[in-house]
Amino acid sequence: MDHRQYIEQYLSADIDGELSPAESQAVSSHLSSCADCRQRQADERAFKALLRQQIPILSAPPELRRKIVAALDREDAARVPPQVRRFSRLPLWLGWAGAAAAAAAIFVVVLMSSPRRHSPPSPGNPALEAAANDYLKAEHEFVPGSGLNTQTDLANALTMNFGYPFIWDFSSLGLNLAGGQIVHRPDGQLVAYSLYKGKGQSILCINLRQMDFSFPPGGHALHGVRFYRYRGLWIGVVNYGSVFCYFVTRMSPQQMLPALIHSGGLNPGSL
Amino acid sequence: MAMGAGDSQKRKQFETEALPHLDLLFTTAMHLTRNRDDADDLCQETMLRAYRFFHQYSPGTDCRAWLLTIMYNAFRSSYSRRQGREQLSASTQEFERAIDAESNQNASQADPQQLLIRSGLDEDVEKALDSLPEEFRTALLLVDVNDLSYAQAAQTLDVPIGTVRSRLSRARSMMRYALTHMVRARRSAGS
Ligand SMILES: [Zn+2]
Repeated sequence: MDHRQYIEQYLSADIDGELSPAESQAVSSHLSSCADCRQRQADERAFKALLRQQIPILSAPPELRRKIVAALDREDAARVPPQVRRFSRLPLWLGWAGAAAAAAAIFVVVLMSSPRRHSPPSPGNPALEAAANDYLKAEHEFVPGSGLNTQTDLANALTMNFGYPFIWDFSSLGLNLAGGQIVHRPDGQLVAYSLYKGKGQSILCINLRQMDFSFPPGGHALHGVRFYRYRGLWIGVVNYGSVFCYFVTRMSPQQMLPALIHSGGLNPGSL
Repeated sequence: MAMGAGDSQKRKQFETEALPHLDLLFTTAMHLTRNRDDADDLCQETMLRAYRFFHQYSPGTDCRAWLLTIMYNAFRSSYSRRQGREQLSASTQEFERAIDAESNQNASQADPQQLLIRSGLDEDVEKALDSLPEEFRTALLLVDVNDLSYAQAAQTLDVPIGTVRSRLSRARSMMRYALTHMVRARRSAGS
């Protein structure tokens, strides 16, 4: 290691205590014989301390605090639509049979009264095509990524990569989490898959970040989910800021929606 | 409307675990957006999103890092685009060229800390920070202001750890450069 290497590649991480053990060792051996770099190290430490000291933590203004509390109050009052709110207070194992039946009935009514009962397929749409292919592959074979087979691990990984855990409770449909995968597609796009399975059915959730996304044409919106009939599958698309979730399944929206809403992840009126 | 028992418990937990980080979020939002109104909006949006998804936050994990991830995602999806990303800050290339030119001269002349102590222009540090291009400003905010580890910052920004490391190293060079020049400019204007 020479001066230039130390300063350009190691100095900053050195004072943050973020060098690997091997790098640490190489740095120590250079510093022990180089007074200039020891001086640079001391300067950089002092500079970091100066930055911390001179960038003060501001106090959030009281009116901002009030606005946030008011927004939380509104959220408490309106978070869940009334018909679902009633079910969500029941313990899962007690309330579900009745709740699912009632909620399914509500959605059937919504579908019947919608002017277009069946959304037209959108052949060749790249986003739907990719989602359908991912599902058909996962339905055939799905190997969870290492460290991603428990709900907690997957929730942590999803939170860190996408800002939210994106874990769903489909136990009312007899589906349980089979595992997750977080991979980079060939174009560098980071994609997370979580597969829920049981009773001969499955739902694949696909999370990805798309900055300039517009929903594929067609489909219809129900409770914040835009549903598409595509290659014999149902694909529900939900937008959370820059993150999009695709739910791909052979189940109908009427079957899947109550569980999705029950999971608490849907923000009514987000479409 | 009356809340269920589960809801009010969630509200209490949110108020003890998430809301105490509001000062830090506000500070971060001010330097991200560089604008008081936008910082307010960004904080509100972040807290509301966090509240909606709070049932999925695992107690005991780092709530601050979780909130910052939500904030950064919200910022990236709306504010940065709306503002026209680099409107106020110098471009990265501009900084790099200037720093290269500087380091070809005698580098030891430019010790911003000494200059600052002598001139007492402390408020320049925040101005220098706000002049950095977004990706460098963000790395510095997460690690030096919010005390995140490189790994946490990498997860928040959705970039590899090596990228955080190099951005941070360059961010500090840019800060030195910007501070040195601000102090010199003030001095020559004053003398
Ligand atoms: Zn040296």
